[in-house]
Amino acid sequence: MSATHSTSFFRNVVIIIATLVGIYGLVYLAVLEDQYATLVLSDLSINAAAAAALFFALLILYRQKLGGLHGKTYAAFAVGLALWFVAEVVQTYYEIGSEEEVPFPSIADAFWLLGYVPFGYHLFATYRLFVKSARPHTLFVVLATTAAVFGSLVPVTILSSSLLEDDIPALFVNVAYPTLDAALIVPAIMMFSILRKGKLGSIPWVLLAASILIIAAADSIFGYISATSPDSEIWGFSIFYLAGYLLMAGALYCHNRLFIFDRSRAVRIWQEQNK
Amino acid sequence: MTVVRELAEITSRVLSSLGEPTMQALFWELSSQGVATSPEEFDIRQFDVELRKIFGDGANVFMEEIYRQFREQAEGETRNKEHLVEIDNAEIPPIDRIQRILALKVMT
Repeated sequence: MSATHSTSFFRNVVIIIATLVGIYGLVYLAVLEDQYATLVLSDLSINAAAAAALFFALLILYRQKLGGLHGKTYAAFAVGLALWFVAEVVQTYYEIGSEEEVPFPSIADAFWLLGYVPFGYHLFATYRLFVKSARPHTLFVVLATTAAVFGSLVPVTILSSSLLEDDIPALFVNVAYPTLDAALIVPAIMMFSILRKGKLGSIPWVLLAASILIIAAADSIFGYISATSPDSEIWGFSIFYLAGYLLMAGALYCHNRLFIFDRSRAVRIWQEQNK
Repeated sequence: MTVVRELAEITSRVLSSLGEPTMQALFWELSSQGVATSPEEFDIRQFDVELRKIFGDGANVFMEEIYRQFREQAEGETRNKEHLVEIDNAEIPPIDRIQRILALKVMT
C-alpha cells in the first residue's frame, strides 16, 4: 500500500466512523424528548458498536491464530472485548428489560472492570516489544500529563463522594474506572508516538489511542458527576462510548486488513498487475 | 549458504516473532514496494528503508534484533573478534552495523 493509498484508506475509515457517530447524534437529538426512546437508542447502538468491535477481534483471532506476539495480544484484546460486550448486554437488560432500578455497582461493572486486565495485557505486551524505540522525554510528558489529569480527578471524586455518601463499593467503582483508563492511556499513546511516522503501523494505533482517550474522558466525567450528584440524570454520554467502540472496531479492522496476510487478495492483486 | 541468504533467514525469523500471518503480510507489503525479499536477492538496506515507512521509529526494534542475531552468528564463525567489538557501537544505526558485518563476512 503506497503512502497515498494508506492515507486515503485511513481517511475512509475515519469518515465512516464520523458518519455513524453523526447519524447517531442526529437521531438522539430527534428523540431527545422521549427519555425511554433515548435510552433504547443509546443502549442498542452501543451494543451494536461493541458487537462490531468484538466481531473484528474474533476475525483477527481466527486468521492470526495464537502464534507470535500479535496472536497472543489480539487474543487478549478479544477476551477484553467479549467481557465488555457482556457488560453492555447486562447493562441493557437492567435499563430496558428489567422493571427494577439499575443497581450501582452491578454485575456489569464487574465485567467492565475485569475487561481491563486483558486490554492491559494487549497494550503493555506490545509496548514492551517497542519500548527501546520510545523517547524518554515523550514517556515523561505522557506520564506527567496523565498523572496530572487523573491524579487530580480521582481525589476530587473521592472527596466529593465522602462528603455526600458512605457507599464504599460505589466509590471504589467510580475511582477504579478513571484509574484503570489512565493505566491504559500511557502505553496506547506511547505506541502511537513510536509508530506515528510509519504509514501503516500508525493507523490502528491512532484509532485505538483515540478510542481509549474518549472512553477514559467519558468514564472520568461520568464518575465525577455520579459521585458528586448521585441523584442527577446523566444524558448524552452514550455518544462517547459509541465513538469509543467504533474507533476500537476501526483499529481492529485496520489491523486485520494491513497486518494479516490475505492470500486470495494477494493473488487477485498479482493477477490484476500481470494481466 | 550465502551470507545474504543467512541475513534473509534471520530477518524472517525476527519478523515472525509477531506471528506468521503478520510476517507474510509485511513481506507482501515490502515486496510490493519493490524490496527484493527472496533469500538470494535480499537487500537489507532497501528493507530497512521500507520497514521504516511501515513502522516509523518502531522499525529500530526489528533492525536491532536482526543485528543482534546476525552478529551472534558472525561471532561463532570469525576469528577476528576485535572487528566485531569495533562494530558494536550503539551510536551507529543498526543497518550500518549489519552492513559492516556483512562486509566482514564477505571478506573472510
